[in-house]
Amino acid sequence: MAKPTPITNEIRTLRFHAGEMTQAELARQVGVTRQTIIAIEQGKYSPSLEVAFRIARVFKVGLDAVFQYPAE
Amino acid sequence: MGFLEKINLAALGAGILALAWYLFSVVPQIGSVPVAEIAWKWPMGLSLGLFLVMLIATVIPLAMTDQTIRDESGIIDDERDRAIELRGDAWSGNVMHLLAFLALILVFFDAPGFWVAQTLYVGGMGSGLISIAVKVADYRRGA
Repeated sequence: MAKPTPITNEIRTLRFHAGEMTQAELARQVGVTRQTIIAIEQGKYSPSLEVAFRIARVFKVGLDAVFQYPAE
Repeated sequence: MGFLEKINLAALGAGILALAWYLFSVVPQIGSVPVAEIAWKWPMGLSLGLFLVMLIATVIPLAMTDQTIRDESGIIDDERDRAIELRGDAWSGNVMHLLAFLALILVFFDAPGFWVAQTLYVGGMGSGLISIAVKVADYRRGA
C-alpha cells in the first residue's frame, strides 16, 4: 500500500486565486484526471516531478509556491 | 468513482463469484472420492467462462453508459492510474511466483495432477483477486 506523503501543497488556495478554477479545469490543463488532482490536493498522492512542474506552470508560480516539504 | 475504478470493482466481484463457485463445486469432493476421480476440469473451465462472461456483461454496459469514462478533464487515465496498476500487478506477481514454485515442488514429488492444477488455478485466480483488491484499495484511499 502507498504511504501517506509528507508533502503539503497550496493547490486549493492557488485555484481560488485563479478565478476559482475548478479541479476539472486544472486537471485538463495539467493533463491528468480530476481524481488525481483531488488525490494530490488531499495529500494522498505525490505527483511526478513533471506533473508538479506542469501544475506550477498553470498558476505561473515556482514549484515551492505549490509544494512544500517539511524540514526534518 | 472513476471508470477504471468501476472496472476493477466489477472484475473483483466477478472473480470472487467465479472462484467461490469453483471451490463450492470441487472442495466437497475432496476426501469423499479418490483424487483421480474428482471432477475438476469442467468446473474449472466453467468457472473461467463464468468469470469472462460476468466481466464482459459488466464492462460493456459500463463502457457504453458511464459518463466518467472520460472524466470532466477529458482524460481517461494518467500516471496515478499507471502507478496503481503497477502496484497491484507487483502484489499479484509476488504471490504467483510463490505458487508457481509450490506447483513445481508438487511436480517434483510426483503429486497427483489434481493438486498441481488446483495450486495453479486457485493460486492464479487468488493472486489476480489480490491484485485487483490492492488496486481498488489504492483507488479508495486516493493513493
